[in-house]
Amino acid sequence: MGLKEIQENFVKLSLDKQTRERAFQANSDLASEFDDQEQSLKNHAFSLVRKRLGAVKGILSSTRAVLGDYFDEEFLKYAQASPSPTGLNRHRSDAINFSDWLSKKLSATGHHKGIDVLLSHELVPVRMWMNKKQFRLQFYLRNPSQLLELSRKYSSISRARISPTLMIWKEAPNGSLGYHWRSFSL
Amino acid sequence: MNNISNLQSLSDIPKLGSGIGFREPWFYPLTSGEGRKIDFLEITADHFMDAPNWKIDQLKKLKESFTLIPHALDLSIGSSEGIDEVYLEKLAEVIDLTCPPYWSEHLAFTKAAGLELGHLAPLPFTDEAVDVVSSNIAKISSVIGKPLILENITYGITMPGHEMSEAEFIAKVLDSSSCGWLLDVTNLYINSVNHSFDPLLFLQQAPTERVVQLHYVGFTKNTKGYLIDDHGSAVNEEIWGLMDEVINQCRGVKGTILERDSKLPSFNEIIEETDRARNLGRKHKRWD
Repeated sequence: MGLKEIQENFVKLSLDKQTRERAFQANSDLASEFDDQEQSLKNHAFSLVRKRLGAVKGILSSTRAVLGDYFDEEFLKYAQASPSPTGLNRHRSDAINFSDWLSKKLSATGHHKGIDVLLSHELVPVRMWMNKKQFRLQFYLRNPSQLLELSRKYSSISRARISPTLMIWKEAPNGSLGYHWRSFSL
Repeated sequence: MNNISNLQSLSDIPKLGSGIGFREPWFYPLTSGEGRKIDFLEITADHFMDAPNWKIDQLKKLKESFTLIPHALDLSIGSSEGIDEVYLEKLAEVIDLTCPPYWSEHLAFTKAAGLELGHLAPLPFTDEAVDVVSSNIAKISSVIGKPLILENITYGITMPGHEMSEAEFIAKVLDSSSCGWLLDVTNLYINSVNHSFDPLLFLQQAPTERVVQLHYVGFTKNTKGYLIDDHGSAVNEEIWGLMDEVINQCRGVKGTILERDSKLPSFNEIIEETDRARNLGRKHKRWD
């Protein structure tokens, strides 16, 4: 087996659980060169998903603080159904896709009021980076500052009251880091 | 850049000393007085590719005080399908911005069959893989004029079809591509434990004369005794011991980089570890 085939088989076996399980069960050509390393491949596949989770947790840190282990459990389900995005912004795209997936799931259950606001707020700098935007306005019915405060105290964010808010985001001026925001209650 | 001039450029690299991998929470200490205790920085090139203005400003600010060494993650130098030209172009832009004496990537692949692993995977130690890496590096060198050094990685899986040892494979790759070696001491130690070999014997068989820079960081151990390079621990005594031996053997080493990525400690702890690495270099007269 040449290098090209080894690499293609390795990537397929690492990224797709169903393909991997079928290949080892059927003893197919895809798995033949790795037949004594099924467990190592499983571990490797899991570490790739954990790496994705780690990156997305870093981006959506306040949402993770509110949801706790539920966040991780849901990400693992999402990742099984959704291959990792590709390219330089793969982790940012992964966070956006997972956020959409999580929002849909939570809206179906009616739980976690305010999570949509928190997710949207945490994704603003991600979208500004990806779209090279220096300025952005965002309107919310609940104040993200209050939600962030509650999330820091590990309180239930469903206690956040309705409070129409305008957020103004700006790329940091020279010498500062990232993106800055100010909120205005309406 | 042809192979001979690449080798000449490697020998022209100045002594760099003891540095760290730049992480954003350390931007302010690095650009204040505390930064003087760090000799040079490695930047993750991917973090600055296609980046917004504030991130590029950050790079320019760091460059005012430090020699910056770009370290790329996703060029997939060992891919049989060749190099991603878009990625290469963006990497070249970051390297142009930083004007480094050299830059680094991993001896690994991350892409195949149009898919991206999102992590480094090992190559089979074969002549075909040597040829693929060498051919990819020839293409890269036509776009990026700075010398390249390649890093040894950790691996949990043994690729099929090995025709030689890892040490022999590294020697052949470096020889055919005229690259330097970024010897990751922690990766070497972790592989030696997880795959049961003697790291000192490995060094005897490896091209230590090609080592330009070292990486080091702590490791953790899982419940089965398997070592994990999570880049999230203080440097273990086993690593300091091996570093001492490596710096003793590698006469051409120009600098060391502490590669901490997660569970970031206080900047003072980082300075203590870089001081210890600097002193090892001084002990073996690798820098002042």
